[in-house]
Amino acid sequence: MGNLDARLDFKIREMTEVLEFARNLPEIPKAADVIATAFETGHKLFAAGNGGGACNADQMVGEFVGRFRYQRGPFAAFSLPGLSGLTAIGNDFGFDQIYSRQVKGCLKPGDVFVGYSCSGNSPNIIEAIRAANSAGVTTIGFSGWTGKLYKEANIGIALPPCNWQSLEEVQLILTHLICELVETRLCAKDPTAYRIH
Amino acid sequence: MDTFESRMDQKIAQVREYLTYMKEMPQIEQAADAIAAAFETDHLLASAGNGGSASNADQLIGEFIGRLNISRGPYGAVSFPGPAGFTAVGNDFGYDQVFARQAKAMLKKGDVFVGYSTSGNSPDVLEAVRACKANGVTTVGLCGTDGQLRHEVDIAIAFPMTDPQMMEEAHLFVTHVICDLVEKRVAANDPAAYRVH
Repeated sequence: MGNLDARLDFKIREMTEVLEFARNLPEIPKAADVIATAFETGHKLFAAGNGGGACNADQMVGEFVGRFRYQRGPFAAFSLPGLSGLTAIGNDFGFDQIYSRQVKGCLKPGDVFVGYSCSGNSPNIIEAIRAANSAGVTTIGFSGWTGKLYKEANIGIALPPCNWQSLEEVQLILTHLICELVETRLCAKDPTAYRIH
Repeated sequence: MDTFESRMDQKIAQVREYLTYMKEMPQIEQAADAIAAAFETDHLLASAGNGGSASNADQLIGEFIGRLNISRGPYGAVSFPGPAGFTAVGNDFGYDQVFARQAKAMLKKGDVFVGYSTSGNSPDVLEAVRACKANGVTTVGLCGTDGQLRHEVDIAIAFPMTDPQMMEEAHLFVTHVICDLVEKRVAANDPAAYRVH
């Protein structure tokens, strides 16, 4: 199979570069603020993506509903429709509506929608961002430097060009950090919450 | 509270560290070899985990059914079960059987099962591994220092860490590397396949 050293050395350089760029993006702590405010004011978060983006979106929701570093109550986050909802919408309205339809049905001003798209152009994510923007929902978009997503989202977290797997990996790290920032802020005001990790 | 910037600095150092550690893990290529051999001989890959590990498990499957960097036909990878099957088994047989029951029925000698568990002790993943071993299935585990999983699988990809979020991130890197190695090997024998990324 060949050894992995050269590949991993390249990955180390690429990840260092992209993460150092992300470190200086004010949009990331801003996204965390907006999400924390939503939870504090009785609002909710919906996250979505495709493929690896769906995994990252699902992780964000899971960490908020479950727990991250603190033992605490759940935060109000939800994920894409279950399989029957997804296949119903995909079949009856088209794959590009699988998220926007749920956005239109469920999200109100004060809520937050987070979309993940490496290309920045995934139709179902762009449709969802547009539906959310029309509904007065705050929108956050994770993408690379191409595509419409980071321009149409209220808060665009746009990362420099890199291998798309690296983009997904960095998005996971940033997703975790955002969860951490949100949780830390909310748990500071919750006398029953305590650190577990 | 740590600032976002200081947490990013810590993250960058951690990412560099575990990517470097991956160079000393021959188990990664061993796992890729086992999976490639399964696909080449018309066998299946299945994968499972909980929470963030479920996202990683799902990514592994998704990249093989879809594509990573090469345009090609799909490989025989299965996520299981869907929500109805999962909740049926959980409700009727107990949560620790949600993966094992399907593994018992579906996976045979020549197939590969990859279990993800940051604690190394998730009962549903351990039960699945045991069911697989009883069927002669090759088992791979992605985990950390602690727990049973590393001792029960044929190939253990065990990072020297205990922090679950860091492990989930490291496991995603491994997942992508394995997918890339497998895809390159299997597609090398496919004259219709070509690189897209």
